[in-house]
Amino acid sequence: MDRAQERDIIQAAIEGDKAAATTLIQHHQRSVYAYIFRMCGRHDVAEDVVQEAFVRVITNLDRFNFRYRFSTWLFTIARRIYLNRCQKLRPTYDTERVDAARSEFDAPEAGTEHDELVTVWRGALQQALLQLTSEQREVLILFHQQDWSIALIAQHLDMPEGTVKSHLHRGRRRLRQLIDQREDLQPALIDSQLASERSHSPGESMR
Amino acid sequence: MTNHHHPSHADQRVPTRAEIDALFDRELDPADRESLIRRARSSRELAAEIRATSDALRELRRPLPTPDFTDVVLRQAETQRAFMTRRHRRRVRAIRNGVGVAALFLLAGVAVLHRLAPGAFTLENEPTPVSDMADAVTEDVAESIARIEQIAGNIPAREPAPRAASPLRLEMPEARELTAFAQAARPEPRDLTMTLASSAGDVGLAQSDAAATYVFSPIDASHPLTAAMYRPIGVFAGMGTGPGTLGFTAPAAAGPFEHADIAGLADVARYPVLRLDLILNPGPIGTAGQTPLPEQVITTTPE
Repeated sequence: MDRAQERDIIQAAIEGDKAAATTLIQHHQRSVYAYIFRMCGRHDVAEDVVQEAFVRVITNLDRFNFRYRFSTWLFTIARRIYLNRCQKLRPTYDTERVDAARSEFDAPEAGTEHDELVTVWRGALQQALLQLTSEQREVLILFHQQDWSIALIAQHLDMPEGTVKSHLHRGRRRLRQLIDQREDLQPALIDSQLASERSHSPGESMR
Repeated sequence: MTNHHHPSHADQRVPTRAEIDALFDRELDPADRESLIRRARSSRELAAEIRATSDALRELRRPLPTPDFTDVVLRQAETQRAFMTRRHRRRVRAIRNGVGVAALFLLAGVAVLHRLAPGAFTLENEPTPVSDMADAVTEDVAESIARIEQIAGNIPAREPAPRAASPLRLEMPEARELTAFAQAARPEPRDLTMTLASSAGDVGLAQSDAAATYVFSPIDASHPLTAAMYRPIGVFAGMGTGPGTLGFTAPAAAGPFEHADIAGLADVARYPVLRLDLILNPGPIGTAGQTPLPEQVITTTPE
């Protein structure tokens, strides 16, 4: 969706067009859900936060500033709701959150070996993410999952670009170390299972 | 070893940490990326690190199963704001446009009426005897002087004493722009004349030096939205009384005036001395009632 299309859809939704509001939700729900889920590691929390964020956004669309991207606005609201919720739920210890994340990925119905591997990977990644600092985790998610630029992340998190980069580099290194420590993720096995899904990436060229 | 070695030697270098960060930060162009990966292969450890990082980041991008929020969000949103059918929205839009157009017509009508009959919107518009007019002019002039001095800030305020005033000098260090201001004691529907001149005969004022002249009508003066109602009445043009002067006359029809501002006089510091004659509500131009202020000399301080 380009800026002009986005503008038209938001304008229509402001005027009360239900279909336009539906388009906005369906276009953005996947990314904002992934963002919040990767931040907290819990589907129930992510669902609540994303739902509340969308309700706020849709009911306050007339306050949207067209100078910004809709996704930036949505993410900012979702993040605020998430942080408020985290404050209310304190103290939540990292170990508890990691355990919670592990249970989220205990998928007994996982059928094929491939499915199991994907589930293991997903759980391992989530547990590793939750062991990073919240800044490292958020910067990593926004940069590598959401493809945001460093400048946009700096604006979103209200921190200098240099600090964003520092969190990004440290977080990436730590993430790799944490995943390296997992014995259930054998590179050779992963290679064979996931080869078909790989796009061109630095790691791919190293094989 | 320095960085000035032959490129083929440089190609053998094991990539630094900063280079690997740049690779994952998407900062390398394809050629540099290719070269870095080739060099990284020389170190088994480094190659494994890049591969593992890459795997983790790929997993991070893998889509997650996501619930559909559409129905629940719309249901909740609908309790706070109503959605409308296409037909209903079209009707609302048409009504809104209609109201907008009607408001525009109304404003245009008022503007035309105001131009044709300027007094139509003035509450007090009774005829004024000539003696009263002369008094009013004197008061206006005195008030104007007082106001200009007040803005200058470095001249003690004095009681209104029109016409006997000595030339007013305003120090304007580093000033690039001159703004003069005058206020009439009582708004009168008469003409306004302003003249700006450089006293140095060889430095003539150019039209581009004076951007615009503005006046307030009295109804605007105390209005909280004064700035929005600032009325540009005219532009300084070659209407001065002699060579090297710029002048401006606002027609009586545009008045009555309570305030007069000259704004946007650019590059004032170019002129060693500027003289400002400001005549506010003097009576119809060309009649005996015309009452110019004494010369107001504004001196710029040479750099």
